[in-house]
Amino acid sequence: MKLSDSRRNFLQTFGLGLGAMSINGFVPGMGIINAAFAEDLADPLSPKKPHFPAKVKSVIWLHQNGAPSSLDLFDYKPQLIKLAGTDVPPSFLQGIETSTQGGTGKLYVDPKRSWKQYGESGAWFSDLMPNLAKHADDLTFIKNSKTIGATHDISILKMNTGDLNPGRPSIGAWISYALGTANPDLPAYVVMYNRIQPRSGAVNWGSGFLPAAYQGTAFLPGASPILYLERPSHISARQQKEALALLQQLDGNRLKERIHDTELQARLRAYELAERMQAAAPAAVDISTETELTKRMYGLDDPISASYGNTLLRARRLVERGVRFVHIVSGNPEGDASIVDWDAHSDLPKNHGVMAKMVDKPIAGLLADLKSRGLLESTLVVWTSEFGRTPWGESGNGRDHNPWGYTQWMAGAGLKPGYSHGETDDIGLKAADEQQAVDTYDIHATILHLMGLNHLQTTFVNNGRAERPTVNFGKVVTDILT
Amino acid sequence: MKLKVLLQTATLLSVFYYPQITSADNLPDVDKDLMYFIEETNDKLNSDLALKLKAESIEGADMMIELTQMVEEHFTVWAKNQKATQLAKTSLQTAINIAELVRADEFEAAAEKGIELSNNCESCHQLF
Repeated sequence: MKLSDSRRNFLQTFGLGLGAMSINGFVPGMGIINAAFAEDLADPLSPKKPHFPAKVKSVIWLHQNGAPSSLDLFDYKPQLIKLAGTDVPPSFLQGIETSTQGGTGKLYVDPKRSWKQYGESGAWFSDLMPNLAKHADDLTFIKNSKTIGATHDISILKMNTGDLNPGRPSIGAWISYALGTANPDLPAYVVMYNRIQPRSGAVNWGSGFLPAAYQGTAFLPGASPILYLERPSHISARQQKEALALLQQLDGNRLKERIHDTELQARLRAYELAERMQAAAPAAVDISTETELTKRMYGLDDPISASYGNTLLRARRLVERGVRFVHIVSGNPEGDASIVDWDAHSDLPKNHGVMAKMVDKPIAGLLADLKSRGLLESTLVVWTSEFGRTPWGESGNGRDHNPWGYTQWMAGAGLKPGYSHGETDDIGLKAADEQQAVDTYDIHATILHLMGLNHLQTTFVNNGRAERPTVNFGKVVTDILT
Repeated sequence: MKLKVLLQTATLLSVFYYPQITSADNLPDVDKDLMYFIEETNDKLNSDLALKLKAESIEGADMMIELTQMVEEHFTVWAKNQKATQLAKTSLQTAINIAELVRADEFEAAAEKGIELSNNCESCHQLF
C-alpha cells in the first residue's frame, strides 16, 4: 500500500468514525441537553439583552414565494433589451451550470415592459411596481444576491434556515432564541400567508435543534387566524376558568416537590401564555378598528391585493405590539386559480402582472404606514426570495430559476436609504463580482447585526457542537449600513 | 471525553508521522470521502472556535493545515488545476492564520478566518 493511500485511509477510517460519533451525540461527556438549555426551559422567551445596541426592534420578512424576476421589477438592463431574441453570449455563461428544467433559451424581454427612475436616488422600477416606486428613497437594494440550488423547496429552506435540508432553525427562531419576547402576551415570532403555504411548509419557520418555544406561530388567513385560540362553544367561560385553575393548582403542588423541574415550570408558563393570548391575540390581528383610508392604503379595496394587504396590515399591528419577527409568505390573489405564486416558467407578463398587483400597493402601504407612525425607525422590512429568474426565456415568454444573481431589498433603521449595493452583469444573469455577491448567510448576519446581535456569538450547543445562524459562513454587509 | 481525546490524538499523531509526499506516484486521491472528512473537521473547528476551546481549536486548525496541504498537493501535481491550486493555497494559509490567532487567544479574529476558510471550500466546490 502506498504511504499516501494508507494515510488517507487512516484519516477516513478514524476521522470519519469520530465525526459520526460526535454527530450522533455518542461522544462521552457530551450530553444532548446542555446547561443553558435546561435553564432556558424555565422561561425560554424571557427578554434577553443584545450584544450591542440594536438599530431595529422588529423584522417583517416578506418572502416573495415562487421567485419574482428582478429583471422585470428592479434590475433595469438596457443590454438585455438590446440583445433580446438572440442566444446568450457565451462569455456570460462561464461558471454557470444550467441544470434547471429549461436549459438556456434566447434572451427575453417583455416588449410591453417600461422602466423609469424614481426619487432622488434615481432607482429604477418597472411599470409593475408603480406604488412601491414612490418609496425609492426609502429602500436599500442588494442587487448582487446569490444563493444555492435551483429548486424552490431547497432554496426556500436555505433562505429561511441557511441550510438546504430541514433541521436547522429559521432566522426568526434564532432571533426569538437570542432576544426573547418584547410582549409576553404574544408569540415573539409570527408567520402569516395569504391563501397558501410555501413549499415544504412549516419547516421554514421551525426551531430545528433549538427548543420548540422559539418556532414561528402560524396565524391563518381569514377572520380567525389562530388555531384553537377560541374557547370551544360547548365549554362555558366559567368551566374553562375553573378547569385551568384546577390544573394550575395541581401543577403548583407538584412544583413544590420538584422545584428544579424546568419542564414543569415551562408547562405552567405555556398555559399562562395561552390564557393571556386569548385576550391579546385577537385584538392584535383585528383590523376592524382601522380606518377606511388605512385599509385602502393596504389595497383592501381590491380583490387582487386584499388578502395580501390584510396580512401586511396585521403585520404592522403585530410589530406595534412588540412581535420580534413577522414572517409573511406571499400566496396568491383571489379570483384567478391559474396563478399560485411568482413562479413564471411561462406567460410571465400575465403572472407578474397579477402577482405584482397583489403585493405592490400593500407593501407601499405598509412602508407609508410604518413611516407615518415612526415605526420604520425601529422596524426592518425585508423583500426576499429563494432566487431570481433567468434573462433567457422559457416556454416562449417565461423565465427559469436563477440562483446566480438577483435583487433583494431592505428598508428601515440602520440602513442607507435610497442606496443600491452591488450589481449583476450586463444581462442580469450573475453577480458582476462573484466574490462580493451577497449570500443568504450575509443577509442573515446583517439582520442579526441590525438587531444588536453578533452572528458569531449567537450560538447554541447541539450534540456538543456550537451551532450558529450563519452555519460556518456569513459576513455583515457593512456597505449598506449607516 | 477521554476516549475522544485519545482517538483524536492518535489520528493526529499518525497523520503527522507519515512522511511528506514528494512525487506524483504516491499522491492521494482527493475523493468525496476525504472531502466529507475535511468538511466535518472544518465544522468542528468552527464550533471549537465559537466555544473558545483553545486546545481543541489548535488541534482542529493543525488538522486543517494538514488536510489543505493534501488538497494543494493533489491539485498542483495530479490535477494541474491552477484555480483550484490557488484556492487550496489560500485555504492552507488561512488555516495557518487560524492556528496562530488561537495561540494568541484571538478567538473572534480566528472565527472570522474560519468563515474565510469555509468560503474557500465553497468556492472550490463550485468548480468541482
